[in-house]
This record gives sequence, C-alpha cells and structure tokens, in this order.
Amino acid sequence: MMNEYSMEEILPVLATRASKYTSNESTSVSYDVARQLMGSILYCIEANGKDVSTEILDSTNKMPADAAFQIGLAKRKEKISKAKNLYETIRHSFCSYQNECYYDTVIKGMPAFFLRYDVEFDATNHILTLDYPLIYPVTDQTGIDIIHEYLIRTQIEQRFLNHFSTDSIEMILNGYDKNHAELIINICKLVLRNAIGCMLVGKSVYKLSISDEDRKKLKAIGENQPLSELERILSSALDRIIEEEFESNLNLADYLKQDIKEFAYEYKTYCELNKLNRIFLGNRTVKSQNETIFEDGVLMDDEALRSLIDKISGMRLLSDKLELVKNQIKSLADLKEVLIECFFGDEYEEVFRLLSNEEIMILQTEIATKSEYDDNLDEWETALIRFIKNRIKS
Amino acid sequence: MDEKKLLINMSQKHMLQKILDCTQYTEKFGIKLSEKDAHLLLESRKSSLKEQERIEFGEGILPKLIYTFCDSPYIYQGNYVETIGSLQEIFYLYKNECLDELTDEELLTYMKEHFDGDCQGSLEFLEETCLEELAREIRGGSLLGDDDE
Repeated sequence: MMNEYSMEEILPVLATRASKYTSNESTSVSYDVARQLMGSILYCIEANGKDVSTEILDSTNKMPADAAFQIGLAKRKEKISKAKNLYETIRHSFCSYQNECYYDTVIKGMPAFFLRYDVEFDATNHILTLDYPLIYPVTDQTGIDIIHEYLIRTQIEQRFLNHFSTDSIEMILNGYDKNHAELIINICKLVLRNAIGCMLVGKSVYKLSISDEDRKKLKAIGENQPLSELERILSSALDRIIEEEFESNLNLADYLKQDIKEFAYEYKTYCELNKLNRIFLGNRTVKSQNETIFEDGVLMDDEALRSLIDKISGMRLLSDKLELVKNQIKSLADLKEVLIECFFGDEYEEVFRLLSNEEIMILQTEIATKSEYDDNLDEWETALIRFIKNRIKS
Repeated sequence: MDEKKLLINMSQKHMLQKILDCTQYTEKFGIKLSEKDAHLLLESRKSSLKEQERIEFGEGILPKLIYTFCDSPYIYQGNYVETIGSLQEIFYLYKNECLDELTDEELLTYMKEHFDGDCQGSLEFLEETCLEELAREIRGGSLLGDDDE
C-alpha cells in the first residue's frame, strides 16, 4: 500500500504531522524526527492493506494519502484498544511461575507500553524489548502489531500452562535449574516437552515429572531414529495430547508444533549423549548433582599454564606430552586450554583415557550445554563425543 | 517538468513571495531586500538546513526572522542581507543545540534580546557566548527543571 504513494503525495501529510508534532511552534524538525514521523505515516497507511472504501477514492481511483493515513491511524488505534482488552484478559489469570523475566515482560512491561506508546508520532516504536522468549517468536513486525501478536501468543502459552498444576510446573522448573526464576527461558516449551515425554511413556501428561525409568523408555523410543521419524513421533504425541486434553484445539496444536522440529533435534542429540535428563525433566537437577559430587582441582596461574602449554607444544612424542598432562594438570579448566592448543587428531583419545568417568561426564555436560547455543564445537569437543560413542558401542 | 520539480518550484515561489512581502514593513526601518537578495537567502537556507540535518515546512523561518530583527539598531541596509543570512544559520544550529526544546518564537526572542543587548550587534558574541550558554543550560537540564517547577 505504502508503495502506491509517491514522495510528493506523502510530503504534504508529513508537513501537517510535523506541524501538529511541534504544536505549530516550530517551522522545522530534525531529520530524526522527520524520519520518525514518516515512519508513523507509512505504518498507518500500511494498516489499510487492500481494504479501501470506494467512497473516498479520488478521480484516479486512489485514496488520497492524507485520508489513507487518517483511516490507517484509526485502525491502529482500534488495534491498541483490542490489545489492551486482550492484555486485561491475560493479566487476570497470568502466572509467571516465579520467572522474573516473564513477570517483568508481561506484568511490568505491558502497562508501561500502553501508557507510553505514541501511535500518532512514533508508531513504529514498540518501546519494549519483549525479553521473555516465546516458543514461536514474533519477528518482522513493529509497533502495536508486534505487541498484539506477542500478546496473542502469550495467551496461547498461558492457556496451555494453566491446564497443569502450578506445583507440577514449578517442580520440573526446579528440575531444570534451581535458579530457574532468574533464567530467560520459555516455560511453556519445558512443560510441553515433559508432557509429550509423559504421553510417550504412557503416563498421565499432568504428572509432568519424568523419572529415570521413564527416561530409559524414552531413550529406547528415540535411539537410532532418523530425525524425520522422531519429528513424526513427537508430532503425533502432541496431537494426542491436544485431542484428549485440549478438546482438539487446532489453534493450540498449530502453535505448539512450532517447537517440534527443534525438540526432535535436541531429543536425538541428548539421546546420543545419554543426557535425556536435560530435556525430560524430573525433580533433581543435573547441575545440582554435579555441584555436589564434583569438585575441580586447583587452577594453575596464567603464567605457569602458558609455559606448560609452550613446553607441551614443543614435544615430539605423545607419551611425553601425556606424562606432563598427568603430572602437572590438576583441573579440567586447565586441561581444556591444553587440549585446544597442544593436541590434535588421534591424540585426543589418549588424553581422554587419562580422565575418570566423572570428569568425562562433566565435560560431556558442558559440551551439551554449549551445543544448545553454539553449533561450532572445538575439535577436542567433537573428538570427545566420538570417544564416548565408541566407548558405549564397545 | 515532473511533479516533484513542479512542487519544489511552487514552494520556492511561495517562499520568495513571503520574503518579498516583508519589504513593505521593513522599509519603515530603512532596509529592504531585492529579489536577488531573497534568492540568496533562500539558497543559504537550503545549505543551512542540510548542514544542520533539518527539514523545514511551510513558509519557513525567514519571514519571522526578518520581522523580528528589522527594527534592530545594529542592522542597516549595508549589512542587512549578510546579517539575516548569518542569523538564519545560527537559528538552525541552535534549534539543534537546544535539543528542540525551544519554540521558534522563544529562540527568536532570546536571540533578538541579546543581539540588541549585551552582544551590541555582534553575531560572534551571540553565537559563541549567549546561545552557547543557553544551550548548555538546556542540555544540563537547569532551564527545563525551572519550567517543571
């Protein structure tokens, strides 16, 4: 729609808006303000889409730019009021499950948005950063559009979460991390995945919590499945949940399916790493277990570590290198530095043989966490995954 | 001629006419602009706006500037065009420097008061001392704070 208007048609509208913006008290505005006003004009005109009343078309069968702006502005205002009503409905039954980011975004942020949003002169600025991540993030939108869509999706997620008891949700959140309240995580995703896990092992989805026994069954289900088949299994489990517990709510099903692809990928990865407790959560946290049973050794100071790295790098024989690692390195943090700089190829395997099962498990967990956020693993990290797999096979 | 050029020409003609219309009033003070002078001022307006990254609508600030300063004892026919051109430049610069917190009227009044007062017609003193001080106060929030009180 906005492309239908030339600059010559838009400029008079901009002049009128600038005059209103300055309360007719300034003949000029800065480029920044002009850009902001122009953005608002185009944003409002865009709201008309192709829905144009024929009564206001001019002789060239086109709506004058000013009329298009005014009609678009009215539509944007209508949307603000719709979003406000929707927010009130959400707020009424909203639960943040103690998550600070969720609470700040919805309960503190949204009222501030409705108070400060300036559809007349700064319509594309939606003010909020919308930090709480949704299962299906809203992208490519601005202004009231992004807020309205964010609220629609928040409502879907809240409706899903409200089906489960707060206690059972908080229990699996504790299972995820004891500091879950401070994390920026999507709660709906964690609950959905556990509910699907329960469905797959034949438990009531409302239990949510997954036991070690359940995880063994889930490993058997997910092991050696191609990704596409895993997606199909998860998708049909989700369909069953929606059909049995949510009166076949297709809207909800479509929304939650946005997570299936990523879920299948993580399911497969953690299955291979034998770490399904990272996605199918129970009462006990992986992190707290690690914290209580493992204590890393003393770190070397930077200078000593640097000189050790130089020494090992200069050695020709692998056995000499391993001897130094065995005798001088006391912590996993130092070992990781040495692995990055001093070893390569088949040598990694020999270093891994020096480690205890417990140490390998710690490194494995760290790699799994890293791979959640970063696809690029270091060479030694890939070698460790390969080493673990080979060990399981043999 | 395309629509864009036609629009610009119409707007320029309108502005030129508005500036020339001021002559009737300024003649009382022994100063007037020729059409060539008006063109010069419009050219300088264009480059000042570009330099200060501002967009102006309507008849612009020039007629108001002329009406405000034409009775100044420090402006006479010999320095009229040059002074108005410089005042115009200073005006846009300090609209920005004052963070657009002052209306046109407020800034013009302040400029006139000081130009005729402590500046005694010195454009340098007006720009580098008086207006600089005003802008500093606005940026520091002391002037705005006074308003709030």
